[in-house]
Amino acid sequence: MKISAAGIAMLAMFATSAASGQATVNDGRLLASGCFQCHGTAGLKGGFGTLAGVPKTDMLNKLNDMRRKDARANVMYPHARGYTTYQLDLIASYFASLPKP
Amino acid sequence: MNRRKPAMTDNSRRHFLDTLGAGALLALAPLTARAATVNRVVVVGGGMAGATAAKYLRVWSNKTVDVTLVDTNTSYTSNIMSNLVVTGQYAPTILAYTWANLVKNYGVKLVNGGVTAVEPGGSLGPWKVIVTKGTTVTTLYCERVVLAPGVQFDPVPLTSDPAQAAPITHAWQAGAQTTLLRDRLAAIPATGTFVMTIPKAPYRCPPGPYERACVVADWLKRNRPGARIVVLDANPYVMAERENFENAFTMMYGANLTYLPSRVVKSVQAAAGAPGGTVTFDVVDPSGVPITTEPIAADVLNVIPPHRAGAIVQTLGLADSGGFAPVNGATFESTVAGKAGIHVIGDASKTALPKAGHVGNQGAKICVDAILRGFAGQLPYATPTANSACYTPVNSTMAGWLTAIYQYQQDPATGAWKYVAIDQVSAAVGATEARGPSTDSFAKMNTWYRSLMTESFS
Repeated sequence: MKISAAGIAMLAMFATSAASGQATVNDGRLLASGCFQCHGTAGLKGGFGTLAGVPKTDMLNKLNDMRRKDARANVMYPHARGYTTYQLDLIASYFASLPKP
Repeated sequence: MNRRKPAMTDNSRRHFLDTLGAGALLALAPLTARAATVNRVVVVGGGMAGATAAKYLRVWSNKTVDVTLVDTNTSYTSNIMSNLVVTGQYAPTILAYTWANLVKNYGVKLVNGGVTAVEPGGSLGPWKVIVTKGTTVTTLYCERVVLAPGVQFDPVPLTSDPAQAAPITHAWQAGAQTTLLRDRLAAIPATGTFVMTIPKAPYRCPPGPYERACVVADWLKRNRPGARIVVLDANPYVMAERENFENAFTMMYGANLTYLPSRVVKSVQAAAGAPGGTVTFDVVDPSGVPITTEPIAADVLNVIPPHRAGAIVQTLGLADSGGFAPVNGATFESTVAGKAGIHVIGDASKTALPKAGHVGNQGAKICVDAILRGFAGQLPYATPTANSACYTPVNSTMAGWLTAIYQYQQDPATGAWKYVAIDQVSAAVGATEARGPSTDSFAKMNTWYRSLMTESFS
């Protein structure tokens, strides 16, 4: 089947839409966005340390350590304790997928 | 005004899909409904939630969604940190933000004016938002409307004529009233009385009134040791960081602070421009039934009236009898019949989440994610999480903190979906407060504030 010039233009349009559509399919990003207020948008340039590019195992080890602590001793401990291990895995995977600054 | 790309006809779309083959058709099928147009969102109100929504609609769509942010003002004044402006510790300039970085960094379009109507848009889009500024009327067509108007305050009856509203200095919407209250505090007599009233929950910033009580008491203790603050709370007890604030009230400010729970303001006698006045209040029993009525005279009067969602939410019939807009917590879309496509975020929305800037920022991101998934023909993420975190000063050098992670989940007993703060390790329900205030938390408060404002406005 012949693809017309208009069809190619539309193909480009669909490609853009598909790309932006793909970008919204990110459960880890939505969950991790709760970290952005203090750690910066996409884990960059926040006041409490960069999370972008942190290896997943490192982050999960830290968070699991925090889960064993007294929740009232540090503002991060209730955060580590407030997400399910499944959610923490998605969050750590998201930050690990970002390039290290 | 936004220009739409020419619509793809059914024939051309079918032809195009044919050329892609069955596999591609499957992959792209959810997108076809929207692919022919540029999706447009109008965000009304540029506070913590609205600014964040405008930013993330652009960031998370890779700038493919057309975003217009409408606000009646040309800048935003932060409520967060404003209690330390009341005490004169910080300059008002630390509260000043604009949307210039959202325009520059992300291509958000700004329209200055008040929204007078949101109506079905006919053939030009599902909704049209009408913005008025003087004699200029701008009509914005869009696929989705996000309302973030914040709160408005209920009138308080004037004691001498209850049909009239008393002049009120709440300083609960930061701006001119913040510096007015600062100046009145600075001029309070040596043995003066500062009376602050707290409305029944839900109100904006659950720990905020108690924080203000503490930092004002601290200022009095250092500058007017013979003066005191009297706190009349319509609630039966301290609504947030109870241990932290109750300890501060009794151990730090015994002589300079009197905390009186279950006191509901009935009326206020005050003259416009005068710092003081008299509050008449009911002392109520635990079920809210008045037991007695008493007056109290104030040299400085700081009445925080009950509030409700901003005017546009009321105008559009989006609020329930409690004054706030019920929404689906996974999308923040209004649950009112006929209002599909209108989302309400921030303090104006009614969820189990607290009304506060940090969580307003997070609610905006949940809303944006749901809108973008919708544009892509996908369902919203069913079980989002929202977090609230804040630092709260108890004096000029020490602060506590309060935090909660809310899971949007279904109650197995009732079937109702709501946000619940649960410690996943201990299964304890509710927010967590710091084990006592510290200078370290005060320093972190400043970092938290700068981070949060950058995340929302830059």
